[in-house]
Amino acid sequence: MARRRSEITEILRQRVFSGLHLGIIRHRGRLPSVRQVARELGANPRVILAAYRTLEGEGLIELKPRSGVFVAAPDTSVADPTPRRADWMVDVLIKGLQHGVLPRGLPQRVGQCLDSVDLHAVVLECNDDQLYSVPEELQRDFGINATGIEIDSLQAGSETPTILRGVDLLVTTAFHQKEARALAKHLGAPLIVITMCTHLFTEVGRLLPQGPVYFIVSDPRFARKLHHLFESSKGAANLRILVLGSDDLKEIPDNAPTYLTRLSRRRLKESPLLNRVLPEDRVFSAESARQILSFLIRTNLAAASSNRR
Amino acid sequence: MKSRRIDIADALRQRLLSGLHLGELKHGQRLSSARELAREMGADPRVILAAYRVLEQEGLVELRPRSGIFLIAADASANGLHRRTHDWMVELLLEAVERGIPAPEFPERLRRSLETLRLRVACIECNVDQIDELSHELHTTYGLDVSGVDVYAMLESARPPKDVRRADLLITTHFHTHEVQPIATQLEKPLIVAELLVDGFAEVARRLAEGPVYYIVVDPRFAKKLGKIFSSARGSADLHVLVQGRDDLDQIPPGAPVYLTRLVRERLPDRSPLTPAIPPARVFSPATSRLLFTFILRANLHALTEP
Repeated sequence: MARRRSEITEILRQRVFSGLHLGIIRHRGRLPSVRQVARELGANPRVILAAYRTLEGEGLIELKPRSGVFVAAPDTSVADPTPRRADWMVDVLIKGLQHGVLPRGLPQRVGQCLDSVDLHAVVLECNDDQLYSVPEELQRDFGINATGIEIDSLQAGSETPTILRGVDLLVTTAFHQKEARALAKHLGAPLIVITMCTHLFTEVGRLLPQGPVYFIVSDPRFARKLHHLFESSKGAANLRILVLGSDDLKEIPDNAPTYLTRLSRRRLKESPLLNRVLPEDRVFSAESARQILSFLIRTNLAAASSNRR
Repeated sequence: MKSRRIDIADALRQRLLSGLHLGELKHGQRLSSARELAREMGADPRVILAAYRVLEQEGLVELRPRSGIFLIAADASANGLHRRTHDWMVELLLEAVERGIPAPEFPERLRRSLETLRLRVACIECNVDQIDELSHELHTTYGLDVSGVDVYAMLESARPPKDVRRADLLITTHFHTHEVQPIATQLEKPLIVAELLVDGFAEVARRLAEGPVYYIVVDPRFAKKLGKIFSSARGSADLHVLVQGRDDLDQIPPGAPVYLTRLVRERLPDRSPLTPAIPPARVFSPATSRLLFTFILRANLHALTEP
């Protein structure tokens, strides 16, 4: 229940952020009622109300009795983030004490779980967009050196590329898990099959019935994959996927919601589009992030204790 | 009952971990039985056993039926401790990442959130025993620069002492709120009225009902304060507060429950025949601990975000 509540809070928070960003909703504008959201998400109205109250506490929205739910005025929604972060860190320090770690020792203790050992991962995927975004996130959020390899380039029976020898971890998505599993077995390396952060897809799925939604990708193969993902969504015909370099970006209307993969964002460099498109925020789902962290921390703790011996 | 179990598990864990760290305890070593500890801590043996089970779950101790309680062997300990640390770190770093802090940056962010400012606190109390106890914890656990201030000396002087004027934060206990609050207001200093963990006192009260209890202090003023605190407890006539250096400690019968303030513990000779009760793992209540951390982190984060 608690988990459900935090998930729903996150979904609603993202909706407000992306809605504001895209101009679909306005400051002081009305948001769907507790009842409406409950019906849409198939959740208990009390859970939705609790989630809305959390967002109210963050200064993002306002609950007006007998009137409805509203996006907060702009000056309060950009409230100082300091108190929220401080409160979270307080919890972190208290947890630390419960584990017998004094605050001053905590940074080192966390560091030990992260950089006692250098890890190298190989990402197996079938398109440039994901071969860019997945390794980038492994590096940025988890400090794991990662290289992308096109899975189709690994022909059965051919020699194993050097980069795969001595690799600490293989990462792929559900689409390629069969081939990846065989390779992992062959190499004797652990494999993590990641799932993507669904906020983006939920949001797109919600927007599609309302009108065209644009995606700018770099690899036509990723375009096909996306079409595939949304083919059973309501309003799937509204999904417009443009491939950088071959399609004309000028056809995107000024106020249409537009998404950009990380690779496209990097390649676009300077474009007025960059100012209004939604960044692909995080790639991994929480579950995948948890798996990666678990691998990372286990390996580091083992290395740290064998160093000590 | 539940919180008592957790408190005792906390105290035991801290004691075992620091014992291992300092080399006073060895892996695989036999530990005091639940019954022995119960006597020592003045608690119900069932609560002690429940606390031991918490630690067994964490992989720190092993309960062998009909044999005793043992500190886990070194190899198993690495696994047990690893499992605990692993689960904790995964949750911690997952939350960090979800808050937009990449895991590799988290240790440095945390360090800066704690150490950007050197914060000075004036710890204001009426006796050296408590000033010492609070100051020690404020320094070791919270990393604050502490000056102890005698509340009466402060009130007698024409203006608050330099340590109070220069402090970023004032701390006292509720006994002296009415004396310290006006000064905090006048100097525009934040004030935390600390709540202390009452466990220690509650334990003393419980044991008073069973027979004489000895309490050794350094400052006669704390002796007087203790007398007042326990004046309404059942068996209060059985409380013997002795002042170190003034009263004869040899009068304490062997085996009697003895409580010492930190200052006394420090001054006691190594080979003292006294077997004192386990000192509490921490001094401040969880609520006060939270207030202190909030103050420290907000001050640091504010300093970090200021242009």
